[in-house]
Amino acid sequence: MFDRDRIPEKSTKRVVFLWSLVMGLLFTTAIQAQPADTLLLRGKQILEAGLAQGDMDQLLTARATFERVTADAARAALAHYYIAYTEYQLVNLLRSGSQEDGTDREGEILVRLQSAVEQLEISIERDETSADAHALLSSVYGQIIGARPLMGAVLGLKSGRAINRAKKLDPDNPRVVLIEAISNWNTPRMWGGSPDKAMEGFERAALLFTQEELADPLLPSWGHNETYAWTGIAYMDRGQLRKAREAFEKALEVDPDFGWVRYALLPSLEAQEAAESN
Amino acid sequence: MFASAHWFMFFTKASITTFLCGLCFLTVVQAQIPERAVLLGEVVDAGGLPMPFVNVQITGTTDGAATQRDGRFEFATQHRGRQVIQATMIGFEPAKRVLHLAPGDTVTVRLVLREALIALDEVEVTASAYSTGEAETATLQSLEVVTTPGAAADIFRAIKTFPGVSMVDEGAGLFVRGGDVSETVILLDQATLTHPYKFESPTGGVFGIIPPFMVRGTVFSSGGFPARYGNALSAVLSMDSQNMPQQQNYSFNLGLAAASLGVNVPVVPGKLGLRFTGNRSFTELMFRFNGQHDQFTISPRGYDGNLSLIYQYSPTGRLKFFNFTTDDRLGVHVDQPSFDGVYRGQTTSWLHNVQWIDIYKGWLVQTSASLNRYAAHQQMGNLDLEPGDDTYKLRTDVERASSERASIRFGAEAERTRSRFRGTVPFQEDILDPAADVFELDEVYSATRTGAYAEVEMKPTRRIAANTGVRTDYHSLASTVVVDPRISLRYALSKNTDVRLAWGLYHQFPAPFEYNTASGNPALGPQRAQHFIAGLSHERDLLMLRLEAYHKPYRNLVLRHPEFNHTNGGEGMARGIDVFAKYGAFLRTRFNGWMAYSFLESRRVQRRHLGREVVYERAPSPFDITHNLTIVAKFRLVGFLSSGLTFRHATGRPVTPVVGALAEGNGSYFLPIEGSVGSERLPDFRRLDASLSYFFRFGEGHDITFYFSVGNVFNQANVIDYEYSADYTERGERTTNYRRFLYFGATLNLNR
Repeated sequence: MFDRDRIPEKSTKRVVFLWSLVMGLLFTTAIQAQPADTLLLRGKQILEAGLAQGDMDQLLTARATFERVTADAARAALAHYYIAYTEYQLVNLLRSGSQEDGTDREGEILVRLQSAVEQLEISIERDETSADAHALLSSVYGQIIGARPLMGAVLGLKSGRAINRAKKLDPDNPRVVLIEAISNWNTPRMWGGSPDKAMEGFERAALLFTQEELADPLLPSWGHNETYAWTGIAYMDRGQLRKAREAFEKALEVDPDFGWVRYALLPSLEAQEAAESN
Repeated sequence: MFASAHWFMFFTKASITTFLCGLCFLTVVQAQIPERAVLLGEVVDAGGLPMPFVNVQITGTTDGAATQRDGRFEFATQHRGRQVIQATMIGFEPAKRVLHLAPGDTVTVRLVLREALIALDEVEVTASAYSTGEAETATLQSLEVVTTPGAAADIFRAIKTFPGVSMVDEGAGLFVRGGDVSETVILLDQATLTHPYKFESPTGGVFGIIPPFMVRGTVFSSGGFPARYGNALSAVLSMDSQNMPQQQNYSFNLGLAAASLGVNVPVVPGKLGLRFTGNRSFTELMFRFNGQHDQFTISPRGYDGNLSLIYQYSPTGRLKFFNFTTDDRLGVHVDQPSFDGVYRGQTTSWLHNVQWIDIYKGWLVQTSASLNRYAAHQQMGNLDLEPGDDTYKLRTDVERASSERASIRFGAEAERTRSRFRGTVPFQEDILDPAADVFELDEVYSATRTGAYAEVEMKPTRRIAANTGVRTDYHSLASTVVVDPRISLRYALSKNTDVRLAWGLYHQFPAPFEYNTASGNPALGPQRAQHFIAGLSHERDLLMLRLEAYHKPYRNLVLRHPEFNHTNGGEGMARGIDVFAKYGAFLRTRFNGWMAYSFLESRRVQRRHLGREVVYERAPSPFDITHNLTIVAKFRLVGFLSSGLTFRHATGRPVTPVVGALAEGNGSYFLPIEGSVGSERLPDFRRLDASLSYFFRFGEGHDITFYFSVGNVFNQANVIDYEYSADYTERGERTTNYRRFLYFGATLNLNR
């Protein structure tokens, strides 16, 4: 505990003056210029708000914000990663159908997925050690295969290589574990998918998210809420509705604004519960 | 708790004044910093509508903003002087504007984003190009090639379903846009395949020698091809072999007429890979099963094998050692007016190729050194010939994208062919009676062709892409240098629709043996064709439509001559229209398929035999197939059970009737007296092929495919030629060797 009497008043004033000086400098600098880190943080905030509200406009704004950061050599790898992640989420939003129908939704999905691949390739070129980038690339390849099964023969291998690289770089990265689990969930059994492996992955990812300590707020931090959402989906599929509800509630504990769970998954669960009780 | 509260109070009181003072101080300091310029404006599309959420940025800095819903933006910047402001959005060409900023300026900018119509890295400027492989832009994906009914999993036969390739017979020969099969050059990893067909015949052969699973992708150009390809009058088929295997894979195939084994091993993952394939064909069982064995004295049989080593010595550098050998033989009973006997043929060929690819300071360099060796034995009546040749080739291609709007490519090649002929050939063409006069041959002919080219691919505006190039070739026997300028233009009418125009000169040198002093002519020069092409293309996700018209005049074609053996007196032309429509994607959509229609008019100066005399007429060429229609349809029935149909209809090829005969050798054989060249046609060709396949995945990535096909479903007795009695008084029809036949088998793939 701090004790006022134990701190010499003169030196305290000096400390406070310096602190004020620094804060004032930061404050005015922040108004005047928007360095890469500030832009990245702002982009992340806009992206998170957009995802919570399912608002494509905010996602597009976030994408534009990240694009500006690509001019900064020190943060370019992260900026490209976040552009790709935004594209990935835009695709999810386009697929969810919550947006008004465009003229060529399928075409836009493919363009955005291709853009995500390009951005991740640049990101990896600049920082080969990013497990997050390799894992997301694996997932994007998976989405392209979903849209173009014909590409499965080639992209399936690339996807496998990317997730293996991610696991090698950071086996305990919860987003890497989550992405592999989602892949296991979405891939048909005949193509090597496994719901059991997926469930194991969701549970491990949940544990890893609770242990994750982010040293840098600029680094990727998404996925904790999604992990519980996927866990709930897996339980729903098994008919374990009580456990599914627990998982969705945990997702909302982590992120009370999580629109996917609040407005899509929970109502779906409730409908299933009602059907069972009848 | 109490103490900390006091501390907080002290901090608050002490700091407020200091903070404000500090702030004032800093504001004063900031006042010394140059004033900022303010940029405001809007981003609109080509129609003037506002574009929201566009990134607007001063290039090279993080200064910028995203546009609002009304397309407007505003931001301040300390950067001054000459600056470039840029608006970017996915799917649009970046819009740029150069500004001169001064402190305190307020600059209003209006930027117009135009839809990206052509990206140079994805553009195929060349007209009349069709591709196969795994690339997103491929006309046919690899799976579509091998599952095309009637194509017998053969690349050449699958390519015959493209427009512009005429159905001259049921073989794999690529007769393209009124050209002879010899006018199509076949390449593999830059090496030339001088004998690309199995069971060779004057119309090509029955299959291509390269199995489809050895090939990663192909580009087939039926005309207007760029300067990088030389010594071809009509078309180019360029194939790339498989690269480094990514995982261990073992494949086994057993069918009614073939068995094969494939092994792909990443020996050192990412560094060293090995690929091996072995294939043995034995058609006797298939013909017996289908009740068609009698026609062969030796059933078509053969083997092929491939061993490749791929060494990735750096992230950009790769060496590929490709070795391939194939052998085939058959014996078939042939009725000739002069001789009724058995034709026996055997062919063996080898291809050894080392390809080296690397990137040096942005230049992509590809070099290949190859040896293609061929040996054959043909025997029938007085024909007993052992032809063979060795072709050595060295080729280098260098490529660089100098900017987003331009790329350059140049290269050179040297090809030396040594042909040898040993044995006897009929003195009079087609007189195969063992008692008839023969030439005895023991000849060796060598020729060297060297060539070089340069191409520039440009995108001068957002709607136009162009490939301009020139190549030059020198041939040691012709002692002639030829220069071929070529240009292709693509004009984008919209994102999905474009117009393509192409023009070029094309030269091809005669084969070395045609220069021999005994039966050839050492004074032969190069043959020439000119391509004029105009086309319209529309592609939208699942739909692809192409319409092309072409005109191709020929000059200096090699023509048999009674006095000089051969001359360059031949000329002719081909013109026509090709239509291609494709919908869907295999396995992705329940239905997918394509339709190719070609209209062709092909005329050439040809010989007409009038007994001992020969006269020349300009007449329909032997490959003048007026209408050529192919429809391929595939259906995904349930899960991975798929079926397919291929229907072909083609006008019968022109034939020259024999209207009389002249007795020779005391009446032992006859010389034909022909009617007008190409004045009759064979009956129209029709054929329907069907297939059924089931793909089943098991274990950790293993799969097995069962396939079943019916060739010539309606048992159509297509006429492939007319044959005459020895004195030419009676004419009969020779019908196809391929009546209705069944084929089945399975392919197992094990992956580790």
